[in-house]
Amino acid sequence: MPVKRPFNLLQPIKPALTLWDKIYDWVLWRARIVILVTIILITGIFVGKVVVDTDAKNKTKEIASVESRLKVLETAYESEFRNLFRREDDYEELWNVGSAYTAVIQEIGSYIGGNVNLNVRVQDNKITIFGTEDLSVLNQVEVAMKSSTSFKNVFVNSLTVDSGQEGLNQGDYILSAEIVAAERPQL
Amino acid sequence: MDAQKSRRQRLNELLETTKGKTYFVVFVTFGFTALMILMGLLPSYSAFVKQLEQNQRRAEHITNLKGKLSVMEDLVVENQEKEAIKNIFNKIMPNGFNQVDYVLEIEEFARTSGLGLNGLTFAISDDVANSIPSVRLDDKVRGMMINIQLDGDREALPEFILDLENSIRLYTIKDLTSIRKSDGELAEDGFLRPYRFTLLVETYYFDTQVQDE
Repeated sequence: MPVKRPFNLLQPIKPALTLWDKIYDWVLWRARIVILVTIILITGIFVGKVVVDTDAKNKTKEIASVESRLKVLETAYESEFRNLFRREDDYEELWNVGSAYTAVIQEIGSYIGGNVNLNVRVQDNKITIFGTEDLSVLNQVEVAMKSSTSFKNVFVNSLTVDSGQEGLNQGDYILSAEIVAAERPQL
Repeated sequence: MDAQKSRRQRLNELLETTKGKTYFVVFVTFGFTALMILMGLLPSYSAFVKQLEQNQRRAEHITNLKGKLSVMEDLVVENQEKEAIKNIFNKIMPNGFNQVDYVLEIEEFARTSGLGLNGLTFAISDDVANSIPSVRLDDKVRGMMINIQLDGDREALPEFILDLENSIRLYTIKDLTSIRKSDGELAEDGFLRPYRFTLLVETYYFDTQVQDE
């Protein structure tokens, strides 16, 4: 028995959407968006990870390259430079504490004069003048040294008048003083 | 088999209504998103951040290394450019002691100041570092004492001392004695050089054979 087919040219009338149909449509679109966003985020993170991994590899290569260049230079020069710097530092230190007696020797020379029998010793910023000479010379040197700013604590340590020679006011003596500020220009 | 059929049947029954389909979509969406966040997004993000931090440390390390390299390269260039100055410095603060250089220089100072060099002796000085307590010296610094004997006029002495103290080589006068010669000695050398000057001078060098501590 043949099946009877209905024949209708009118557009079928859809039934009205129920509340659940509306909710379903709304949820379906939101669900699509959520899944899409999740996939985009994951893809983005993966791409980012690939980028930072590549960056890490490049940086590791760069570190190796710079380190090898540095090692070559260090092997060739570092010990030489260190030695040079250490010597420079020591040189500067030693220069700054070096002696500076020129001015003092000149000054003493001007007090003592040319042809007198006096000896001079300079040691550890102390000056000692000793010898056998006329006491007026001693007096002259002592006064000059006491009035000079280059010396302090000017002191006659020993004085022995030669009584054997009458009329001569001569004696053995030791005159000592401390040298003030015998420092050279600093580096 | 029956259980599977029953599940499928229950699922078909659920999907027949829009209410059921809504629940299904919500469940699947939340499930998928949670799974992606837990299994994909969080581990990847964590790895990404860690890698980023490591890269930052690498970048800092590279900056430091490049700074050091730049300093080193500048020093190498400066070292080559200032070879002449370095050679002079190697003579005034030498690695090791060359007595001849000192003899020649002191002889020259004596000659230019008009003094006669009568004798020159060398002796290694002990413990330089402790002998000058005001400065902190390297363990490798060594001292050499030079005893200089000169004859001449007292007027010539300051010039000699000036040369010595102004020399770029380090000479520290430790002891200086100026003695007038006896009449006999004066007569011997024709009264030309009335004074004998004895200087004890310390000079310094760097002993590279000493091992670093």
